[in-house]
Amino acid sequence: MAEELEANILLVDDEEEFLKVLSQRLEGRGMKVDTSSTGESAVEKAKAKGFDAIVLDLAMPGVDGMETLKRIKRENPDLQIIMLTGHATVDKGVEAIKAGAVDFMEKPVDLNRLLKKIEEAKNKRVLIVEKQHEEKIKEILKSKGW
Amino acid sequence: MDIEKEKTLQTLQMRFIGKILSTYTHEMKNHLAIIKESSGLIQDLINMGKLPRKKKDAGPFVSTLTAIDDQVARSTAVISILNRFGHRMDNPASTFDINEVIEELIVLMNRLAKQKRIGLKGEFQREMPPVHSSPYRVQLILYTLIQEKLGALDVDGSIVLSTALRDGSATIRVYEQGARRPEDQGQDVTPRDLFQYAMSELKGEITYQTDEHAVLVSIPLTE
Repeated sequence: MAEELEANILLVDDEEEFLKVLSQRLEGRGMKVDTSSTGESAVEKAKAKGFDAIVLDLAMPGVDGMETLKRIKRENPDLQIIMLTGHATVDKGVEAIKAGAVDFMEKPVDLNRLLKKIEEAKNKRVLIVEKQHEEKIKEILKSKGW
Repeated sequence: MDIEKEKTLQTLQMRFIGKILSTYTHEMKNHLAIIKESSGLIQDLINMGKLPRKKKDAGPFVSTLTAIDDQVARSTAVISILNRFGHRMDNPASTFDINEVIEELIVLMNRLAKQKRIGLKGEFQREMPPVHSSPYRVQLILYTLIQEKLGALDVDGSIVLSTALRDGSATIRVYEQGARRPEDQGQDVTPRDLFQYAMSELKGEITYQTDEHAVLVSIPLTE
């Protein structure tokens, strides 16, 4: 088994059984996993809670993965979203990356590859948050004339 | 035979087959993903030394193995339907059960309807005599009518295909339940003259009941 990875993850897929088994596997590797089976609930959860990465299925009934991606990015542009899909076409991947996804993976996924992508997404998010903090501190210092 | 119309029908037929194939290979990938993660989960449990020593401790293993079984059953059902759908094109015409052909189409299009949160159902008159016609062309016409309604209906609506026996013909009425999307109040977009032609080649008829957003397809029972 791969090494432990501490990360807060949101898994989004309309296949409940897939959510169940994948979250058990990720939890077994040290992650905290939240799940959503609809785009609407994923948008709400992403608004309410900070996640290191979101793993989002492209094809879902109602608000689909692409629309969910756009809505989440609109609310929180720093969130790192990895798209999963059964669509084997490049154009969907390009569309998702253009809409702000950090990566695009085809189902069934290789778990080690997914873990690597999650780790990369988490590291990227940490960098963004650190940079934001740094800029905020600089602003405070500047406003105080220090 | 109108060569141009036949060519157009063949193009539509190819698109129809492509759509069904892409939809169901997508569905199969979902099944395979669940099977892959379930077997991976069992490997994880073994690697963590969580092998059950007693039957009563085998819960997680049993439920995961059951999930694999369920997915294999789902995949088998889909493949059987796809296989039957493929064989519909073995001959230009054959004798078939119209209810069975419609039921098959409903299963094949269910995922497309579900994606739009629209119901797709059949109301079948039982003990329908068999018809002799082209099952794949009948499916193409019904598929196109359903696609048109999927584009027009609002969420939570339904599309119904009902069969009946009328004046020596098997009839299929395709109608809507629920509201149309506000932006989609326009006219039906099915290529009517093309389908009139296709049905006349099958010695049948297609009637558009525009006021009710319904279409009636009639197929003679005998050739």
